[in-house]
Amino acid sequence: MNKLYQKIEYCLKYKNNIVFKFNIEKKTITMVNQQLLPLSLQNKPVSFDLVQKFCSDRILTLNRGYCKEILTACGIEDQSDINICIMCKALSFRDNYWISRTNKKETWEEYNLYNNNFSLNISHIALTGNMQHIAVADDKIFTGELTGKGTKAKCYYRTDNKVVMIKSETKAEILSEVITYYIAQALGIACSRYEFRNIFGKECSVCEIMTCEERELIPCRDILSYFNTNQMSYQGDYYNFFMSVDPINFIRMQILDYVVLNTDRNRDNFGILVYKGRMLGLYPLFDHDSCFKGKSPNGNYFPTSLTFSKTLDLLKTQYAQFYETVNIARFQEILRGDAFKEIFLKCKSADEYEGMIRRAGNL
Amino acid sequence: MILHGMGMKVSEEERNDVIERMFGKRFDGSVDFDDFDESEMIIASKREEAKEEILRYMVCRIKEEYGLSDDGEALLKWDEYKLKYNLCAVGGSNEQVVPEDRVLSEI
Repeated sequence: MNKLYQKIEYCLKYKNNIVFKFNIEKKTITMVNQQLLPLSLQNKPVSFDLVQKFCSDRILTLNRGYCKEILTACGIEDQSDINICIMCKALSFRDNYWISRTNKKETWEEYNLYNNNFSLNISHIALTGNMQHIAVADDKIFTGELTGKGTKAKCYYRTDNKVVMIKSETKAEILSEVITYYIAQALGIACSRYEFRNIFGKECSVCEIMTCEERELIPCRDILSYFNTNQMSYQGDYYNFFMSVDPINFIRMQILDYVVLNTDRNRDNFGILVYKGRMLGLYPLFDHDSCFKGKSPNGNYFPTSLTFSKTLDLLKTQYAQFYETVNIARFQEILRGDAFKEIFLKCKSADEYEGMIRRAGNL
Repeated sequence: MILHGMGMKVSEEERNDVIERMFGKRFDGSVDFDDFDESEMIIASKREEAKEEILRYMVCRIKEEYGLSDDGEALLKWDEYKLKYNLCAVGGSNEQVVPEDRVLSEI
């Protein structure tokens, strides 16, 4: 793609509503509807930096599996954050924001990934890195692969009118994803259900994506941006925010992470559920491949920047009024029950079961 | 905190209603393990399952290739597609069309 695209005026849209217009060559931005700004761009001066930030926060990272192959398959030569976003229209399976040419009649209905076909070729490359038989894409790239976070090779795939995310992982990681769903269920917190499948010769976890036009995800990364920080801490505004929005489920998430010793609850791995434009509470939990990795409760827990054990102490003391509403006794009863134990041992070892029961006993 | 300005705050009940529509059930600690045993999630690497995935994938590719909307029509075009991309020399059933080992390693 040549640099002509820099002369074109683009706009950030929420569905069919223009949020702002921008010109890359002139580095200008014209605000049209500030009310519709993504949360991560609020609380900031209106400047071209908003465009850069939106795009940088949105695109895949270079350390993602098969990143180069994905970019090559999409025919993207200028790999600046803004260009990558423009090439794929910033379409995602996360929210309803996208980028369109200002003077072109392009509608959300024609382009959104939920209701239109996206490229299976690019999905296939994103999962396998196999470029065989792949034609280089033209300037119409329909894929959500360029706007997802994480380091593992993965892809979106449509099956039976559902969109699923397929992620290539080790068997132990997949089984962590599988069993954590059941532990979350026992705790009464919504969590994506993962399955263990063999796809294109790879062992993969598969889960249905829960976003749709009505339901969007605001990742914690964006909440942090709103508060102009990228540090997660129990003393931070972001932590108070989650505690204000949905204290019980936020506490349940931390209890779950303590019990399964989830070492990767990073800022892209939890967030806020938005339904028809309204923030409803904690988004159903997802991404549990880093549970049961043999770490200690004295290890660091990202959301609080405390150890797992100290996080539990924090919840029991500072947030006691909410903590006590969680039915810990019922949770422990389920985990200790024969039915659950049998299921657990299909996924994990007896030692891991004992360790989990010990931690559950500390709740 | 400006929760009201940001679209908050809603009730626990309201959130749970949405979650129930997402998952088709409530997450209230009353666990039902039946789906675990009925599911194939633990029996990994099942070759039949892999073949089915591959078949679905190939049908999708053929539909894209020829601009078709129907799975049956795509299957009728399978041989043509094979020849076009020199996918396999053997004919016969779909199972033979794309030898599994080749599919697993190449697709």
